[in-house]
Amino acid sequence: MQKLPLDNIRVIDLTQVRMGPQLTQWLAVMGAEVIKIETNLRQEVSKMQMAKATGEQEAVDTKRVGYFASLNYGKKSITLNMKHPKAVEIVKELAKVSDIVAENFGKAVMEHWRLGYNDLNKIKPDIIYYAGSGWGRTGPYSERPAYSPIIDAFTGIAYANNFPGGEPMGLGVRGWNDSISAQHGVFAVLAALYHRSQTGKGQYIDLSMIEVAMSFAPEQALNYAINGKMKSPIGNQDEYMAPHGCYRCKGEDKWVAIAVSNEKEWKAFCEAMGNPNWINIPEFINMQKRHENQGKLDKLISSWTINYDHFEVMQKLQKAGVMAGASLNMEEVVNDPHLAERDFFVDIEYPDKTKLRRTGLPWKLSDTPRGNYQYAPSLGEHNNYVFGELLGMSSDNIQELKEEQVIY
Amino acid sequence: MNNEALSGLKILECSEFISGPFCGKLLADLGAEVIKIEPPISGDRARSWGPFQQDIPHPEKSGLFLYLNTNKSGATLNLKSEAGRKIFQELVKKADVVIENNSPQEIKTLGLDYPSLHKTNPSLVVTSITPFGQTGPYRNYKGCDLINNHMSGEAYTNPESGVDDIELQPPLNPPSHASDYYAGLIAAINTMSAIISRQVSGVGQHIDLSQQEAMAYILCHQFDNYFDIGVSFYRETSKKSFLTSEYACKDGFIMVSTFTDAFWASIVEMMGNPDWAKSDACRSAGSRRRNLAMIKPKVKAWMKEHTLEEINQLAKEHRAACVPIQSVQEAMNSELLAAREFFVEVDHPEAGRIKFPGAPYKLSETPWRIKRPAPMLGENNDEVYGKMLGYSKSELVKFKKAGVI
Repeated sequence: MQKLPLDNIRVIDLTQVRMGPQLTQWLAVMGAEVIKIETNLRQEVSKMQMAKATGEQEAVDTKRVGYFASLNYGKKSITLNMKHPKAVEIVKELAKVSDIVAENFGKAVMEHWRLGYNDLNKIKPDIIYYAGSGWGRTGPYSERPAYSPIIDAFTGIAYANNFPGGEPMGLGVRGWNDSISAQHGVFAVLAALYHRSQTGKGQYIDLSMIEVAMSFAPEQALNYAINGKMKSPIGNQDEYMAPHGCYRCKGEDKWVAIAVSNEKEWKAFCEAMGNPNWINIPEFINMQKRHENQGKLDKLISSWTINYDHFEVMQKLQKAGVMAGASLNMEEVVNDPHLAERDFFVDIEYPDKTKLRRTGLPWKLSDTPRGNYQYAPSLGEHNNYVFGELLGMSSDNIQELKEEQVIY
Repeated sequence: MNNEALSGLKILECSEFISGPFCGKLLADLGAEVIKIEPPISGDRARSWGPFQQDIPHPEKSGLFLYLNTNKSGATLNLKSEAGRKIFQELVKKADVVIENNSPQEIKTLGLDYPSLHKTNPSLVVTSITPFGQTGPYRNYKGCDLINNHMSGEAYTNPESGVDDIELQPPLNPPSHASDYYAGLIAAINTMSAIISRQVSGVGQHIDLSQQEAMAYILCHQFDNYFDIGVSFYRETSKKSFLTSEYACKDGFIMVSTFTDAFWASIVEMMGNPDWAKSDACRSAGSRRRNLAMIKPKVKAWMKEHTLEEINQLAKEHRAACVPIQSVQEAMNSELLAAREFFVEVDHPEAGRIKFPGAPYKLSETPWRIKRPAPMLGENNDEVYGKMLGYSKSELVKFKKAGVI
């Protein structure tokens, strides 16, 4: 059986919230041993998230529910009270046997502990050190906090996200910037690992959410750079294609997305609708005309789609070779037969044989196992393994450190 | 070269528009040798997309193409012809990776199907990007960015702040072909992991990337909510549940985040600690959610009474978790991005000098950099077919006449 690509890699994980943990999760699923450093002194934000979602402050087993359980499967957990100098020494010992250190404090926290890149590469010269932040580890905003909606506000993307004529709006699913930042981070770390395999050299990766967001899907920036124009929002429309939109179907809040990209598809679309009379008017004679008159066109298409269930429209049009997709709500995505056949959701198994359903990673190689989907750890679950087995401490020593609140 | 992370990796990019090219760009910008293979005469359709200077279309001046294809060399090849496919097989023998984003029905006729590529070069990594993947009941469905976003649930939750009339305003496609870029990014990760795998096994693999899955993955927490507490997030949920939102002020818009209790406290302080904010209703995240109908209008009203400048000043003083919503123009002219040296100027023989967004990350040993602009159509045919494959100049002329290159 094929091994996982990062089987021989160890990661010291000091990341928090989403941008960092989502990065280290990819490394864990790809086979790396990711050691998450937590503490009894402070709850990880994603553990508080679950309580927020219910609106109640309740004790929940966050390794089994909520955002923590979905961001941290695959990882191991140890507790270390980083305020204690002995904890800092332990991290240095860990660094000697690790390949990657990941943190997204966004400011000089690690450096303050003498665990920054310039400290750790003296201990392990080929260490790969990932420092994530909102605004960059250097520069005029380097100490400011940042969250996804704040980044959206800065980049200008909010102005592009709406129906024509609309006001600026944050992107649906606020974790957008966290996700693209985490994934750019994964790519950068893999590139650094590859470079290290060729040269023996590690390096420091300074990744900021704002720079990721500005370089990703930069159509507004390109418009402004090339002809000084600001792009207005176009909603579900397209710059060239028509019809191209989202149309109301039978039922409550049911819609279907349809896109027609050439005359052949337009003919097929018309036929699928039963060739209604209105298709033959001069306003719809070619793509350009249809684009000019898409307000009228969209109304007429809606008068057809409204009579059908959104899945029905999708199937009918796809059969005719036309791009169409039902606009799926959460329940419909979860029950989507295509995603089911492709094993998109994973059932994480716990030691007591219960299962938790979660989103899997879009990571699939043809000759490699699905990945390391080990259940999210409880706080300090791997203390004995890491301190005892990995670092060779005696159980007496470990007990002492627990009493001194170092392993805490 | 030692200061390029991915130097030595040879990549054939047979893809067009955004998803495949963005994957290729990520690899090329860190030093991989990427040869972009385009159909003769028409080239990648991004060449006709724009934006264009003065809105005058020109195949060598499309902003989208120029941005997505930095650091790549360019060759034309007609994969629909047998002679073209033969030449491609020779290139494949020398390559580490093939990136393609053709439909599953088309790839066999183009000679891009994994079994035949693998036969030619068993250590080849093949990255295939499609709307729905190579397997499953929708594998023959046609798609584009609009379809990817609506079929993943991404559109159903957009815009986060809700709409005025849910009967009339449909789920909203996110802007700028986001799903195509995201697929390219996920493809790049998958590709690098397969390269790393190959360092041990010596064997290539097929990467089957579904854009629907890539986009659905971003919604992981929404699915958590559905699985754990049966809540089905949609474009009104946030409006009805959270204070984090855009707010109109006197002369613009402000983005406010109340992600934590500390953030909320900073907003309250900025608003001058009004009496209503001292009530039990505002005490915790849970209570604020339950009393949103009372609280939100009060925050809205305060914002409306102040200008962007006033709020920005107050926010700085109180370190409040809010920020003015600015345009891309302001972002591009910002002191922050200038200090980070974020933008790069790239010179292109036809398009001239253009200011592009630069590095998404700063690597200390192997910095991201632009070595060359996007290729002109067929610019490197001589290099690729002549130097790399050993064809003579007269053979290349014959190929060109026959429409093979």
